Amino acid sequence: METTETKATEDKTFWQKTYDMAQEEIPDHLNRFSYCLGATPLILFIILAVTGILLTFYYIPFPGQAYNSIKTITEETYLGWFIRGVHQVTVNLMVLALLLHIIRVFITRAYRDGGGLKWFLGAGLFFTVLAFGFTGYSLVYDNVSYWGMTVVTDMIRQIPVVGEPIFLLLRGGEDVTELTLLRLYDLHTKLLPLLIVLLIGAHIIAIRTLGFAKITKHQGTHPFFPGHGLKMLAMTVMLLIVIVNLAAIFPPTMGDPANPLVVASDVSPPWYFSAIYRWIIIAPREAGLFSVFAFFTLFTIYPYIDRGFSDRGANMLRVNLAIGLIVAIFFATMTIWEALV
Amino acid sequence: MQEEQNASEKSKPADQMSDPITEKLLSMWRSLKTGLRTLFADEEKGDYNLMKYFIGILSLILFFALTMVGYVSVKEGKMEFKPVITEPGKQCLDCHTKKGLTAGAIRDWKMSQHAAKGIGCNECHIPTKDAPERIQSMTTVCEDSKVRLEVSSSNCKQCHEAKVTEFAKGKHSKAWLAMEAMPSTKDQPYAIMDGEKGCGGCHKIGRDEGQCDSCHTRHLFSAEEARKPEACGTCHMGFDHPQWEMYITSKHGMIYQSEKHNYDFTKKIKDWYSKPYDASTKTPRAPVCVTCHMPDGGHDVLTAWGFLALRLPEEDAEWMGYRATILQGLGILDAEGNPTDRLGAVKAADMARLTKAEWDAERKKMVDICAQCHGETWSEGELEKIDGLIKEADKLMAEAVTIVQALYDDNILPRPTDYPPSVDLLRFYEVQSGIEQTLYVMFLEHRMRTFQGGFHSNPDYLHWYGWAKMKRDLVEIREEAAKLRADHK
Amino acid sequence: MSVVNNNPERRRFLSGAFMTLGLTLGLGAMGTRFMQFLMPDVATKKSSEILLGKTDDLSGNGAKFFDVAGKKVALMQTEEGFTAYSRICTNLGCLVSWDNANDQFRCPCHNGVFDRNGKNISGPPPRPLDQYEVVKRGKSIYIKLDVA
Repeated sequence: METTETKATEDKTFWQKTYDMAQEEIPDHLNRFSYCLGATPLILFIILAVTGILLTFYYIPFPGQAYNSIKTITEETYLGWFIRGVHQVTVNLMVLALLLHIIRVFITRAYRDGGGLKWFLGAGLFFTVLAFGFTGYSLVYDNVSYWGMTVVTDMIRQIPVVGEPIFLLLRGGEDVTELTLLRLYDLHTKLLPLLIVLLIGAHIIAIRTLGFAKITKHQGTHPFFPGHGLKMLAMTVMLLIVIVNLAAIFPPTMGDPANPLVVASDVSPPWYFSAIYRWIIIAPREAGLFSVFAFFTLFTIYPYIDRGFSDRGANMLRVNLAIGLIVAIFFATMTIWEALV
Repeated sequence: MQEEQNASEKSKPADQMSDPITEKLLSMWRSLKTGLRTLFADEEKGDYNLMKYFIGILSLILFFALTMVGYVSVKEGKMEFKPVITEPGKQCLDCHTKKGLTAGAIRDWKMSQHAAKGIGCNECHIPTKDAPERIQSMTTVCEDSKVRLEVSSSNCKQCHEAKVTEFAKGKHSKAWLAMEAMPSTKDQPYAIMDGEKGCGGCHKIGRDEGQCDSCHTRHLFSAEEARKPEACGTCHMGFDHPQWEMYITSKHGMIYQSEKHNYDFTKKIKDWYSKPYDASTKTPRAPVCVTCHMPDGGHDVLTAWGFLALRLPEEDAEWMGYRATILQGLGILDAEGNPTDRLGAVKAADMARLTKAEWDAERKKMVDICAQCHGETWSEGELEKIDGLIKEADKLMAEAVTIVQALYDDNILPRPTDYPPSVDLLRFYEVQSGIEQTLYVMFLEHRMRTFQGGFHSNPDYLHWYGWAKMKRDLVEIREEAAKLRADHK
Repeated sequence: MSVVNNNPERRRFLSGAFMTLGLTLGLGAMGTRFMQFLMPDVATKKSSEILLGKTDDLSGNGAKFFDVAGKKVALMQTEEGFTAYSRICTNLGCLVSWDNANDQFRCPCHNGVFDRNGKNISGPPPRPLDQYEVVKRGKSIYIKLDVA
């Protein structure tokens, strides 16, 4: 790359100016893979967006036809199984990468020193991705989709004050009808993508503006272009290889079509919701729901909590590590429990 | 505020034991980490050559993975039925579907070749102008008064003219006539004859100028189905014509049974052996019914000997004597040996070959068919063996007929009130005395099996169910006749 | 020891070229698969004869319209026999209707006119109406169509 520092600003071309804006000195600790778990979800999101758009060319969002259109994609359309498989595999990798990213950020307290905004936007992103997962799976309109739609909207109804309006908004009425499917489809393909793109933009801008939290061990920096850029390119290709192979080894299948008259006993949500699902089943009703909402609220405002404690001298690194371990073990236990049942 | 590094990084113990294996492993681990860091970390002068090669190689791996993806085949060969529904057909289907009627027929039709070509309900169920009166005069519950439940071959003829014409030349088309020509048909309950539950159930193939759905059944009308022996099995089985049983347990039939899943019945019969020296598991290794009886797919089913193993003229004078007796027993010749009206019925129903040329032509056709697999001279010889056996069987039969006829002539058997006092084998079971019942069974069951078992290569049927039983019948008839004569005195 | 042939520009060019080649193939393959997914399957069509009716029912002066397997067809009886025209106007694809009074096909979209032989006689259509092959078997008239 030509160095642009020697030119005066007025002589630079548009591309050079753009390059300058994107260029940045990145702390060297970002050479370690565990610190690149933020770029991973971004790459995976782009893959999801592309495959998702491709799928909309064949998907029909009406109850009589949704299941069959996906069946057609999976079993008849050329490479339909592949596009759907890539989409599915990428969702799972995305949630996994997000969870790992959150754990890393949490354990290293990267939100400190005024970086709380990054965390809030990140929390928003996390919830948006979960919403994507829920709405996306509902579109298949198989038994899990239908009963998942019913149960989750019912759970949302329990939230005090805002629960009822959101419930009605999501369902498009009192009952689960074709309007519900249509609304979830619109959320999944229009509203949520808009929201997540804004949040991603804001998250990245926040990172750029607020910078990275300092880590003493690695003191140096390196430029974003070409170093970190190439790294992201390598990661993209590696992820694609993993995804393509996983999609080929574990191709997508069809469950039973939705039967509104019979609650199948074996419906369970995708793995990333299993922990919450299992927790709500074993906990007494009000306590279960309330604890979930409380957890997510604390999660979102955690930088404040952290600052409150660390100002009083607590060693938050140790605290975070402990909390992280407890939450991770709890999540793993609940998930495995649900899987075994 | 400076913070310490990630607390999860394990710190090495201060006093590490020096141990060659541990040292080796640790140094390998360290060099791996260094290598990875070199790959991902800053390079000198910002060249990043290693990284770029790495990305290039990974991309090529991705390229190969994606190439393989293209070869993954989805569930192959989904049977897609695309019925073409025309305007008039749509009316039928809409109303029938709405009212929940005839689901079976509609299901079958959708899978048929008719549906693929836009031939719907109206083409068959609205009879043509030349359809038989019986169908035209039927009533219907359909809202369209032109529709009839039953269909005659005059409708099929609109498109399948050649096959319908062929069919009309064969015996199947005369089946209903033949049934009605039997003397006792009118005496049986409605269900058995006209009601198509007994004799009528099979002989209906000849009703209304031919019912094409007898072999390629409605509403699928599959030629593949009709080429298999199962299509013939419903009617060509049992008491007087157990061709199904004889065939399926013959060597031919056993080979069929064990290999039929390989045979390609979608091929036209004339193409089966069109390349006689090409071996394929898809080509039937043993004949099925249509191989011998419908070569080239011809619908004019005829054989040399016919149903009753009769022919005219006969060069063998001795044999002609036996045959004449049997013909008298059938009421085709009278006591003086002159033809009766029944000969006319035989001619009309094409029930026997009445010229040497016809018989020879049918025989030659059959020999040519056997020669597709067997030697020609050998095949001729095998068939001639059965011809010889028919003569022997006719000898036994003639003696039996003579014995019973003599009882009539000597007034020993009770005089029937509604038919002439002589043997009439065509009365079947509508005879008064036990000895006549034995005679009728000897003719219509055992003599039939003697020669049919021969032609269908079933030694057991030929001998034990045929010849041996004829002998037994003759013994019984002689004994019974003697007893009757003794009682009469 | 000094390094002979130390040419950083060449090395940079080669690594960059290799990476670009690899990326083109890899990401290009990905993009190709995406495009193949989107392209609808038009290859597997076989021609089939569909029954239109019997000559007695189909004879007449004017054009008879049929909707056969999704194709809009106009059947005309001529001295030689029957001709089947596609009702799709050769201008921009609207369906032509039959004007009995003037013995011609008219297209309402841009006033294209075809005579009873399908020839474009007036208006924007650039060429005559397309035809389907007609097969006559006995008294039955079939039309040869591509059915998926």
